[in-house]
Amino acid sequence: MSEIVLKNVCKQYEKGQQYAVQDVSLRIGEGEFVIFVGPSGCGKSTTLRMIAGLEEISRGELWMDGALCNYVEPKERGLAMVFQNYALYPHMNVYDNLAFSLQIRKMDKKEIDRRVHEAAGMLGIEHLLRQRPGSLSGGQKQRVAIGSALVRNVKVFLLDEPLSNLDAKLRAQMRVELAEIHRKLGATMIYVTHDQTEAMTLGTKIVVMDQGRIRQADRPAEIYNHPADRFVAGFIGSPSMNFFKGTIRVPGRAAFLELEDGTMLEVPENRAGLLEEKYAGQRVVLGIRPEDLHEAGWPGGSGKTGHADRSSWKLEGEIVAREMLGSECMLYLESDAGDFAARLPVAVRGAVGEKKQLYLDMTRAHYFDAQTEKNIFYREGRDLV
Amino acid sequence: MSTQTNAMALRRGGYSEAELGRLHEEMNRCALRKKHVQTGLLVAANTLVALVILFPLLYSVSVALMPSNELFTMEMNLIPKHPTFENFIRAWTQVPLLRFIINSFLVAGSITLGQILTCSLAAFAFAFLEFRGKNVLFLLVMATMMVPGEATILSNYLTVSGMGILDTYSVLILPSLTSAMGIFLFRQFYLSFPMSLFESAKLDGCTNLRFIVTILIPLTKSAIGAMAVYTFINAWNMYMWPLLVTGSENMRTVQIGISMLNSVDAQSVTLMMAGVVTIILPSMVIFIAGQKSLIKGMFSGAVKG
Ligand SMILES: Nc1ncnc2c1ncn2[C@@H]1O[C@H](COP(=O)(O)OP(=O)(O)OP(=O)(O)O)[C@@H](O)[C@H]1O
Ligand SMILES: [Mg+2]
Repeated sequence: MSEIVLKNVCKQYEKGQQYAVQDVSLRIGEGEFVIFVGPSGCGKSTTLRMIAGLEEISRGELWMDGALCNYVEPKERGLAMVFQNYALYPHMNVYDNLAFSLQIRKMDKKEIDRRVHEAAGMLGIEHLLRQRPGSLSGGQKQRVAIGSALVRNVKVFLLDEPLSNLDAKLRAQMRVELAEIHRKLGATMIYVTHDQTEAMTLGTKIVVMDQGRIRQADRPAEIYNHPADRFVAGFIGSPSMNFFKGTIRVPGRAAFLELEDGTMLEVPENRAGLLEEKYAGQRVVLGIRPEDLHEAGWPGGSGKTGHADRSSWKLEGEIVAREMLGSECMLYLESDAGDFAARLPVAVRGAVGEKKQLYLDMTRAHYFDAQTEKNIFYREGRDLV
Repeated sequence: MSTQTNAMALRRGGYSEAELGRLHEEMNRCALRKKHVQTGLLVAANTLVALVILFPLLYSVSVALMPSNELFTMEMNLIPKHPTFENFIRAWTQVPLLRFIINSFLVAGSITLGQILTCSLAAFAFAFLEFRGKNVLFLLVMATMMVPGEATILSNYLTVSGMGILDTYSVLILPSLTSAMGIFLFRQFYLSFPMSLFESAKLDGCTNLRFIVTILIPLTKSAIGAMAVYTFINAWNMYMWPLLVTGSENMRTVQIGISMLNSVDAQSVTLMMAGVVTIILPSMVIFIAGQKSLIKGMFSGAVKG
C-alpha cells in the first residue's frame, strides 16, 4: 500500500505573500501515474516539493500510507525524486552516482552492485558506468538521474519536468521508456510537465492547476472530453479550444445559441433542456475544439443530434493562416463572432485571404457560464448525459 | 559535363586551379604575418608593464645582493657591480631568521586551517539551511567587517592578557581563527552551487556533514584553495597584533623579526633587504602554487558553467 493523500494543503513562502499553493486536496492511489500540468508559476513544483519534504507545508495535511507526514524528514518518506536539471554529482562517475544513495544506507556491496547493474540495464546505460556525468549527453544524463531514483526500489517517484531539457525525438523515446518503467515497477509516479503529449499519454490521472489551486483532477480522457471549466478546456488540447461568446435564445420549441455576429446555432436536444430552463436569454461561452469543425458534406454529428437542424451549425470566416501538419491541415480564421482554428484533412480547399464556411459539430461543443466560467454540464465525478 | 566545369569556373571567378592555390597561400601568409606581429606587440607591452610592476621587487633583490658601500653613492646603480651573498649570511646569523620563519609558518598555517574550517561550516549554514533569524545573523556577521581592526586591538589585548596567554602561539592564532570575510566569500560561492544537488542528497538520505565531506568539499576545491592562499598570505603579513602580544625573541614572527635587523646593528638597508627577500619567498611559493585555484575560485562564481 502506498497511498498519498493531500488535505487542503497550502504553501505560503513568505508571510503576507500570496499563497503559492492553496487548498490542494488530492488522493493518489498506489501505482497511479499522476501528472501535474498548468501554466508557469501555478504551484506544480511547490506541490511536488511539499510531497517530497523539501518545502514545509504551511497549512493542511499530507498523509502517506495512513500516517501524517507533514514533519517527516525527506529521507524517511521513502520516495525518490528526479530533478529537471538532473542533479548528478559531477565528481563521481555514473556507477557511484547510482550507488550513492545505497552506500549511504550502508547496503551490502554485492547488493549495491546488483541493483546498479539492474537499473543500468533497464535504462541502457551499462556502457557508461565508468564515465563522469560531464561527458554524457542530455539524454544519457537524464537516464542516469532516473536510474539513481530506480536503484532505491521505492514505491513513489517524483519527477519535476524530467524531459524538458531534451529534444523532441529523445523526449518521445524517453516517454515510452518511462511508461514501460511505470508498468514494470508498478510504482506510484507523480510527474510535473508542460508537455501536453506527455500529460495525455503517460498519465492515469491529470491534475490541472492554476494560481495555486486544482482546477480539475481526472483521467486524461475525462479532462479532455469533459473539462470542468473554461480554463481547463483552454489549457488542455493543442491547438487550444475555440471559444465564442453568445446568448441562449428560445424563440420557439428549439433552443438556439446566438453568436456575436448574429449567427444562430441550434442547440442539440441533449443540451437544450438545461440551457432552455436556466440560461434562456443569458450569456454563455461556447467552446469547440479545432477537430470538431468540418467542411460541408461532413457526415453529421456523432449521434444524438435529435431534431436539431444541422444546417444551422455553420460559421463563415476569412482564412488568415494555413499550416500543413503533414497528416492534417490547420486553418486559422477570423470572423465577426471571434477568431477560431480548425483542424481539417490535408485536402481542404482555401487559401489565405479567402472566405470559408465551416460546420461546427454542436454535439461535441461545451457550454460555459459566462460569469463563473464553469462548464454548465459538468458534474463532479462523472459528466452527465 | 561542360556546363559543370563552366559553373565551377564561374564560381571561382575565372581563376585556374593553380592560380587559386597560389592565391590562397599568399593570403594565408599575409594573415599569419599579421598574427605574428600582433602577438609580438602584445608580448612586448606585457613585458613592459610587468617590469614596471615588478620593479620594486627586482630592485630589492638587487639591493640585497649589493655590498653596503655600493648602495650609498650618487650615481645610479640598479644592478650590483660586485654581487655578494654576505647580506644574506649576516641576516641569517644575526637574528634567528629560521625560527621566525618556522613561527610564521606555524601561525599562518593554523590560521588558514582554522579559517577554512570555521568559515566553510558557517557559510554552509547560511547558504543551505533554513532557520529563524538567518538573515539577521548574517547581517551581524557582515557588520563586524565594518569595525576596523585598530578599534578592537586594545580590548583584544586586554582580553588575552587576562587569559594569561601572552607571548604564546595561541595568542597569535586564536583571534584569527575565523573571519567575516571568509564566511562571506564562502557563502557567495555556495550560493552559486546548484541547490538541487543538496536536495537530491537529502532525499538520498545524506546527512549535512556527509554532504559537506563527500560532495561540497570535492566540488568547491578551487574556492577552498583560493581562500587558503588569501588567508595564508594575510596571516603571514600580520604585523600589529604579533608585535603587541609577543615579547620574547622565540615567539617573533618574520615580519617583526625583520625589523629587528634594523635595530640590532646600525642601519643597514642592504641587510634588511636580504631579510625581506628571504621572507617574501615562502609567500611567493605559496602564491605560485595556489594561483591556479586562486584565479579559478575568484571567478568561478562569475560565469555559470
Ligand atoms: N523559494 C521560493 N520563495 C518564494 N516564492 C517562491 C519560491 N519558489 C516558488 N515561489 C513562488 O511560488 C509560485 C509557484 O511556483 P512553482 O515553482 O511551484 O511554479 P511551477 O508551477 O512549478 O512553475 P514552472 O512551470 O515555471 O516550473 C510562484 O509564484 C513562485 O514565484
Ligand atoms: Mg516548476
